[in-house]
Amino acid sequence: MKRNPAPLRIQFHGVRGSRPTHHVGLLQTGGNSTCIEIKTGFDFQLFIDCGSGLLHRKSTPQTQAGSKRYHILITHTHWDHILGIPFFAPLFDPEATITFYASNGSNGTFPELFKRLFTPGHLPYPAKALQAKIQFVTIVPDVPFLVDGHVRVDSIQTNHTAVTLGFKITCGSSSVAVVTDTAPLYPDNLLGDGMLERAEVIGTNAFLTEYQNKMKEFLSGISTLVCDTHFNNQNIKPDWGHSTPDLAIDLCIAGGVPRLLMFHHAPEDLDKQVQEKVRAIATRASQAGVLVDNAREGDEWILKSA
Amino acid sequence: MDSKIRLRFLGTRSLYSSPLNSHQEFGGNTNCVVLEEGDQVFIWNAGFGINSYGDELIQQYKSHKQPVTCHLLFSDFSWDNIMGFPFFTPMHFKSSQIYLHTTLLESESRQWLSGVCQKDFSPFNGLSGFPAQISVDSGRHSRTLGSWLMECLTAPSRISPYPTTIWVLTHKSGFRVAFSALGQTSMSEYEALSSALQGVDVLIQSAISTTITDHTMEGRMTFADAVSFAHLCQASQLYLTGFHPQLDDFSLQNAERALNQQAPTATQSKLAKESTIVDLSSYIRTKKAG
Repeated sequence: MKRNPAPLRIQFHGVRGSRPTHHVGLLQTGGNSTCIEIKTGFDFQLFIDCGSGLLHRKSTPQTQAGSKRYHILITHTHWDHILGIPFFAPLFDPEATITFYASNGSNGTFPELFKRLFTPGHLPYPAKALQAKIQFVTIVPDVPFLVDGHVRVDSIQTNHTAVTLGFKITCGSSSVAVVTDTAPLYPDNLLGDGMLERAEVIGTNAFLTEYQNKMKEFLSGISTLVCDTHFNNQNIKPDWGHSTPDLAIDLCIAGGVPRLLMFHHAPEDLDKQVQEKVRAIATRASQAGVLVDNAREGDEWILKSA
Repeated sequence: MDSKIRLRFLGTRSLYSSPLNSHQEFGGNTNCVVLEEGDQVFIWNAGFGINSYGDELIQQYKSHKQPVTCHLLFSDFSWDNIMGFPFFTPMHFKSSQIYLHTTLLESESRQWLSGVCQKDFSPFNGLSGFPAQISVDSGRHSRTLGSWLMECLTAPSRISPYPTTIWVLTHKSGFRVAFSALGQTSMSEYEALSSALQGVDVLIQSAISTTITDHTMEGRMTFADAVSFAHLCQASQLYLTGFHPQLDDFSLQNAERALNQQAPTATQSKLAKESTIVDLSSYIRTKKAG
């Protein structure tokens, strides 16, 4: 098996939250909904989420374009993260193998939800058109697993509806975490399945401490955090399950993370508003020793060791 | 509010969104076309094009201190026609009155639309989870809505087990506009439908591309099919929309040029461009005068 000689690379194919959006004022940042490619150097393609960005990927020399093996990690099944699935061209290729890794939803397993996407009447082709070998792996939060025997994936439940996952990808000496979508965690804002129940069992304060410690451990040793910054301090709606640049910096400080890439931009935010997020957080980031930038569609980042 | 009759193209893509630099002229949002006359608003399909319009409606009605009232007309429940629906801002206001029009049974329509808003796929909890007052108007009867008569035709679909609905709105002035996502069908079906649409002033027709090249496009009209259908209907104006998301501005400019180089017919054919507002008032005045 080919060794992975190079550091991980991360390429953004879709950086918007909620929904894809087309407007001439936001094309620098990009309007596609969430899709991230992790380039490992191995002979497969690895994605996090299948928003519309999955359908408009820009290749770079590091893209394993010839490979017909695809591994796809799903953070959760809200539309902005899965709407690209029905039109992902490899689904129709009999030589392709696609493995989806996801937790179960509130009202069904991921394979059941996957099937619902292809309900006759919703799509212009019959389910029999799917020719690829499609496999499903159920993720249990906090239980690490290997993709293709080489890439370690850790997961953590984030503070968002149902069971939404943050992922940490480790390969060789480089490591990156993608935490989207997540809201500030406080007693009246426990949004994920099972969170309220756990808080009732061990006490709310104990739950908050447990969660913060778990997140700190999850982020330790990574070189880059890709984090939900959908809102800002002025417009945040905590129960909508999203974060702000300030909250993302808090996570970086807690985990000792040296670089933050802000992600899951609100669909209403034009380029200038997205750029403003970096300016607004610059002083605090600098004081904390965190390099901050926005995730933009098409950009590829090399992830050095932490 | 402005009482001009206007058409607005807010989403011009079928299948999925394509928010790309190469799509600036013709647009990248999924299906949505609006017909406005003052405070009467008819929205044909709720792809992602509907979302910026929802914000605009809220602002507009706020400034007039009125709640939003609008009619959503669905041709069918394919994802590209309904995925913007849960994020349509007026759905999140208690004062909004939203009428959903389909030709399926009310229970079926509610089930289809709840599917797109279900908790696993969205932060919402089905159709009943929205604060807005939502009425589902099902069936094939005609109804008068303000200064408009709304009628519908249905036709079998080659891409869905359910029929596709063609919506026809006739203004009290006699001006008629039809919204059609009709796909390829038999010549006898084309003839029957075109007979019912005879002399329509504006036909808005979904057409995927110049040719059918893969299975996601099968059963849809090509641009040439749409022009032929408009010709059969003797439509005065044809707007093509619902383009394949991979067709960039350059391809669509070429397609439009090719349409215009075809033998002239009585129908003026154009490809819809997102964000375009077509003021139909002068057309209606000329028609009245003529």
